[in-house]
Amino acid sequence: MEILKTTDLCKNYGGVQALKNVNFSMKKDEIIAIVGDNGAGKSTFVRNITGVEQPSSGKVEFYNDEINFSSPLEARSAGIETVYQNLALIDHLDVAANIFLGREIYYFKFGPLSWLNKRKMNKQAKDLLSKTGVTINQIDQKLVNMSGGQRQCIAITRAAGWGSKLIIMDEPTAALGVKETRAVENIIEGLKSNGIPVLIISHNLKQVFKLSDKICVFRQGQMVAQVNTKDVTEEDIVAEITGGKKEKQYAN
Amino acid sequence: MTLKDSFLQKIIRFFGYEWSGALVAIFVLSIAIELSTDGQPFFHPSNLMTILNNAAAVGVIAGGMTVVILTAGIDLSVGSVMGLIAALTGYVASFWGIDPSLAIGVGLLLAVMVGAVNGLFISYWKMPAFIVTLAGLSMWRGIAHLSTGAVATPKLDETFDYFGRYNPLSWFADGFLDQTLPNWLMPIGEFIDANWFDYFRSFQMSLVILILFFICLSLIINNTKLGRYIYAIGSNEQGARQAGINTEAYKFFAYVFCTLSVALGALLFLGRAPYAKSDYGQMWELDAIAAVVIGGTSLFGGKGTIWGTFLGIILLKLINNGLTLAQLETFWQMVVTGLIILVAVGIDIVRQSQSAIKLKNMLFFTTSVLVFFVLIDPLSKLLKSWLSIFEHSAMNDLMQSGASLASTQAQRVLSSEEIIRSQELISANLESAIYFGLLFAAVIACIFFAKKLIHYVVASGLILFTAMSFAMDSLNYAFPFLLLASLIMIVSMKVEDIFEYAKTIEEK
Repeated sequence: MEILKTTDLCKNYGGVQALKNVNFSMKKDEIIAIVGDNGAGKSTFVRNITGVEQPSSGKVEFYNDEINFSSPLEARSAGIETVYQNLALIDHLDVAANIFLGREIYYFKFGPLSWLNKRKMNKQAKDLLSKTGVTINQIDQKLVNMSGGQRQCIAITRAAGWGSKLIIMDEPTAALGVKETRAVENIIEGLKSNGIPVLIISHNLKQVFKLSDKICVFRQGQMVAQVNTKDVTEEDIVAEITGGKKEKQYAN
Repeated sequence: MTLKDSFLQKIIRFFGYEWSGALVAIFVLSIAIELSTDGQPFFHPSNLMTILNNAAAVGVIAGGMTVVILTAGIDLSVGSVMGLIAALTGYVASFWGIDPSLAIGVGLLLAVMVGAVNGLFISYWKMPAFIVTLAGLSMWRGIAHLSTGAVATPKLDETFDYFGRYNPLSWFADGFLDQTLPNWLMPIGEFIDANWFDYFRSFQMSLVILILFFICLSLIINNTKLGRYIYAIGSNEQGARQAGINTEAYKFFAYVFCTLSVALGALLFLGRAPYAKSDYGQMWELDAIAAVVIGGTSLFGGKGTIWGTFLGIILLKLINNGLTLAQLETFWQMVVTGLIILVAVGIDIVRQSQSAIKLKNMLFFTTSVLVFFVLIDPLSKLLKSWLSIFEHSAMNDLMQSGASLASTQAQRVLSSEEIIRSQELISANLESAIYFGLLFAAVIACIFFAKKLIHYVVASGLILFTAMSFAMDSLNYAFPFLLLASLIMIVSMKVEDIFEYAKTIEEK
């Protein structure tokens, strides 16, 4: 079943065509990596799916429904979770508060004075973290002194914890050390085994080959290749990214 | 882990709380004041209640300010708005002949309007809070003067007393005296009446409202959606928005809430004031901001506690009281408040840098500020006497050269008794001004010379002065500040060791 499909997706900024007729498709139980040079249109593509921006023309289907999100919040409530590069975490709140940010559990609801059920949130946050395989000693610890890896794990846990139908990650390990990168990669693989589709934007080809089932290459606003990872080599992908090798057909 | 380790770890964790500094300072200062004053003891309930009563109006405003500062905003207009609300509430109650409770309603409505204006500009139209409320500082004060003609009202209606000087316990005492109290309450009434002058006289509505306000506010900030989103917005506004929080609405609400607490502060003030006037609340924005930052709330938002602000306002009043004992001119209070803001913000910045050396130097600076507080008294008297003698001779010269003096100039010419009095003041204060001045310079020098030996010498000097100020009656006023300064000085010399130690404990 195709969960995400774009047909002739275009995005223009004034006279500049940032996306040209992108025909992308993604199946359930897949991890797809989007690669490409800076300015190739990877982030623009993601922004147009998640409602940060709206496409100029073309069609986006999510679980066979045509969608046109006017805000990230709409995309979120439809089940598309995005882990931004800035992670959107709140340093001065604790782990549980971050995981439940915007979706708090209450004892009773009364507008802004709704009373937080901290105990329940702490317990559920702990469960979610152990499900994604993250070890954090104190759930009531503030994030301010945590490492980049721990923060990334919390951000992913937050995205994964909501029965989401698609998780999009923008450079999930760009700023991490070796050990932390491995921890995050384990989590991403764990998501796959839990049946959550993941779309990764990454510069790190080694990682892309390690994690993904399919690779999409963007170049100058076009999707120039969508291939099965196991059918290609790193050199092939580099050639596609730079446009060095043309006219090569892949089994797809 | 040994007992010593776990004890030290607890101490380190304690100082990790933003409000810890204020609490320690209150503790040390109040004990020192208790030790150094002979008359009425400091820790007497009626004295403590008086401090709370005096802190009530500005304390409530500081509570509202905390909410705004937690969102990484600021409200510089609270003093002017307090003047506006106090003046207009009193004005309509006195001159329009409307019921006082209706007048209070007018005040609250006004607060909502002013807060909405602030919130609209800052939250929805994205103007810097600093600019909008700085404009408000001038604008609302002007409107306060214009709308009331800048004249004082006659004595206010008794209804206002319920926000201030009214003593809820007087109901028991009066009931006991009139025998109108229900029988089962009689023993309580008798007890209160018997101890009236010793304990219960100062139990006013001011402090009751202050404490209730802080209890409610801290419950709301710590336990509700509103409180959590306020922290989230202050810490990372973009992140909060990405998480789906309506940041604009919550920021808007923060400003309206702040102005509402200003209205409550105005009522608390009217409850103790004889009349209403449009010049109330001048410079209160500084007291409120000072209380918030002393309490450990970061001006950069997202970090801080409501009870920290409570401690902050108490500490501020305590320092003010300590300086009032020394009979300083009130203008010095402004200097002191400014210095306190400088120290509190400095400590916040240093705390975030987590650098032992910066923290050490900041603590040296704090020590020097405390020594400066002590220096103010002799130095100001000395300078004033010197200046008056100098101006006297300058005016004399001017007269002898044949010029005619304006009346303010003529006032500068002293009689021979006044000259003698000035000279006496000079000789009385010269020594202590020089000694405290040297001490102040020495502490400042510690910031620039990172030699252990120098630090030890200065610290021993400081401790010596502290002991002397305790022993000598004429220097008693200095003892609380010097004791606190000595403690901070000793701690600051150990800061690097403590940082090392904290690291080794963490590794364990």
